[in-house]
Amino acid sequence: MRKLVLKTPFILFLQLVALTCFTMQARSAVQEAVYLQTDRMTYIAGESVYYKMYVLDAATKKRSDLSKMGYIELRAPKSDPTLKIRVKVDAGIASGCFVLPDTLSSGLFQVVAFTSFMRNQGEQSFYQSNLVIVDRFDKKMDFKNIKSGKKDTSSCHQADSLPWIVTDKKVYAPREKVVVSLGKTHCKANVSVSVYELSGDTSTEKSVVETLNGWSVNQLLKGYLPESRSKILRGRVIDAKTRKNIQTATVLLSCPDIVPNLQYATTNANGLFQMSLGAYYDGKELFFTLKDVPEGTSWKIEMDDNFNLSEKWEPELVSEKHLTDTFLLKSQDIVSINKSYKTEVDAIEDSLITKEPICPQLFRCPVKSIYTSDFIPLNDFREIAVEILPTVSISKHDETYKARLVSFLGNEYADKEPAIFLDGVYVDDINKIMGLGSDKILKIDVIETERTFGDLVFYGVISIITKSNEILKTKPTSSSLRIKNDLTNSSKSFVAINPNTIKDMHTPFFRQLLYWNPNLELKGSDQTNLEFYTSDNIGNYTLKVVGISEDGTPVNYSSCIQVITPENVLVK
Amino acid sequence: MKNILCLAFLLICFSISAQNSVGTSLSNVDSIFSPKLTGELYKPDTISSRGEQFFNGQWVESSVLLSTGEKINGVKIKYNGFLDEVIWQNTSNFKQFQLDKSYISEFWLKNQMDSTIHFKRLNITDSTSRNPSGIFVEVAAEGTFSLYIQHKVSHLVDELVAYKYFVIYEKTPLYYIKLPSSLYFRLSELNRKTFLNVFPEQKKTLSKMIRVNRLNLKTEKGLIRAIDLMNQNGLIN
Repeated sequence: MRKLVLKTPFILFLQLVALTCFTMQARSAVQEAVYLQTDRMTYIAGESVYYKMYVLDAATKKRSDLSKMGYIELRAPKSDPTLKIRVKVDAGIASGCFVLPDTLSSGLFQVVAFTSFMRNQGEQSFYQSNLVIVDRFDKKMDFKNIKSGKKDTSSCHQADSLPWIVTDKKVYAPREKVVVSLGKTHCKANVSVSVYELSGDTSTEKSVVETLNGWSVNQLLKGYLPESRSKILRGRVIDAKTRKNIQTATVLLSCPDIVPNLQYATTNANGLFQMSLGAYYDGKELFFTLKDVPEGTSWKIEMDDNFNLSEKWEPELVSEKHLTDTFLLKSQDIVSINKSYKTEVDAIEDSLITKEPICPQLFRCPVKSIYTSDFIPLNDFREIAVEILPTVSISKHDETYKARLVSFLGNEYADKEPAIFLDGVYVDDINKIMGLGSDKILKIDVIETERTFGDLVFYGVISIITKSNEILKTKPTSSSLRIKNDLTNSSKSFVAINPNTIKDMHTPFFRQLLYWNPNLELKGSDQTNLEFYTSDNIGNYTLKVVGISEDGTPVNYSSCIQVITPENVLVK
Repeated sequence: MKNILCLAFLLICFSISAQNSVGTSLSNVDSIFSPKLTGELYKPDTISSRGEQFFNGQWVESSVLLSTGEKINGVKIKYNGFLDEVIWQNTSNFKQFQLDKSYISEFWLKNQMDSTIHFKRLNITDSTSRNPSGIFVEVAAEGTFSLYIQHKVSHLVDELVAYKYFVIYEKTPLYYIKLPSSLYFRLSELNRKTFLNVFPEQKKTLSKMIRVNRLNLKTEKGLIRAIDLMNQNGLIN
């Protein structure tokens, strides 16, 4: 008995250790981390930024198949984000490009990349790196840069004693072909390759090795679900007067379309709701409405911004610039030349086979459709109901209209109001459509039977499609909300030009980015070859290969080449 | 030794519980954002009847594959062979709804033995069908040749028993054989002759196959076995 008493604390201690270890392990098993690779670190406003985003399992460092959406933000110090980009992630990888606005002023910018699921770990887990962006016409360039003691990771170095990146030469003439051979890796790897002119100074870029080593397992904080299918929109229903959370409120979402469409969510104890926005909602106007709001209340919907960052970026900026002015001036000149000669190359959109977006239709049954053009012109919806909709009854009480439909069983009118849809959008009030006459209405669909949509029940449906999207002209009520959904950034590829194919040999061909391939598959056992051409731009170039192998090992190699004038090539 | 065993047991228990909690939160994503079933209110017949309109008498947990390619699991449905419609019992309000037929591509009814019966919607126009969206059939065999069974229920003449009318329902299954050319043949009765008539050029081979395997083509089981053998033997029409 005494032995048992003595052993009990020991067993309890072991229990506690085991619980902590396994909970941590299980949590870390589903935590994500992001690494963002950009083609360069210095840009001129108006140029394209090519990127590759890795979404990895924080514990194994392997590519994560959990989140299908990623977020990239570009922001200046103490400012709101300049660019917000949502990218589609496939098997832990997203690549594409975005164009920097021409209007950006010179300075240091921060790139932040994350997935919604990473919000559980806190914003400190988001990927952050800095870019220098210079206005094309800013010759003074008196912006401040961040002080960095680190050496540019893109400077020439080889990870191994034997060169992993082998080029056919070290020195090239302008417009000459460069043949590159990449060495073997211990297993298959997906890497990005960029060849860009070296800025010749330090930068604040984080290498993939540094980023991966810096990750730590954090506790899960909030209930952010992984966006494993599509974007998840979060919001809250509150009482506008008391700011109290409203639970079990039903939030309806639909958007303008030629078919009535619906999605709904119910708020939890904290007044929170979440909705999955598939490709169907990309770039569309979203109409949120609360169903069955009690009279006299002031319920309100508030949406979360998926891009929201709690604090503005406040780096310690110093006056000195680490990038040489001559390099930036040269970059400005190159962009100006390309603009003047119209030799800029736009990224081309990748031809992907995409599935038709799924519309969450309210019904998929045969309906009675009535076209107003088949009848004489009628002034308003009341007249239309009386003359051509025999199953619809409109009554007026205290200056407000109510609609009723013939019930399922007989000629009696149902005691509850039907659902009204205008241009595919659920409208909470029939009075919004009463002013619509034959001149505005194209088609009316009526379903008299009691309908279900998931757990929602509607006592018939009246769907009106107008000739010129009248829904966009309606005024939302206090319990409704209208927002525009963003678009997923389309996947675009860099176009590598063979200068020998340019018809006019006198056309200048200046490039600071010679090559960018975000998705190069290394087979592991074999060498991989690639080729590109140099441009008329004389300088030192970095050839950088960055990626993650199948087993989660970072791949990070770089090498240098030089482009010099043809005369000097002969001398060398 | 006891301590070690005790520790090992605890480690296993906690490991399972921790993994489960994560698994549950991830599976929640699918359940929260699963697509919604749509349909109209179904009012069951209150008239006294003999026989059943339904293929399955009890509500069974099933999976439904929608025409959009999305799948919903754990819904309680019944297949009504008389209406050729799927009826869903919404457990949140206990109302019954006749699901929009064109929205359902396939469904799997779980039977008591924990096995599933697979149904599919075929885009076949049937003159007797009330709905133009095709017919629901059970997938009996699939391959180069496929066999589908429509569990049709027919309404026979009302019967007057003890001054009371009874509606008589009777199971009248129909069999559809799909050829490699995607042509469908309907068999309303089961026998060797009607079966062989579907394959006029293969009569000899099939007769031999029926004889060798001692197939009874008057039964559903025999017909399924025949189609399975045809697929196994690589018979091409």
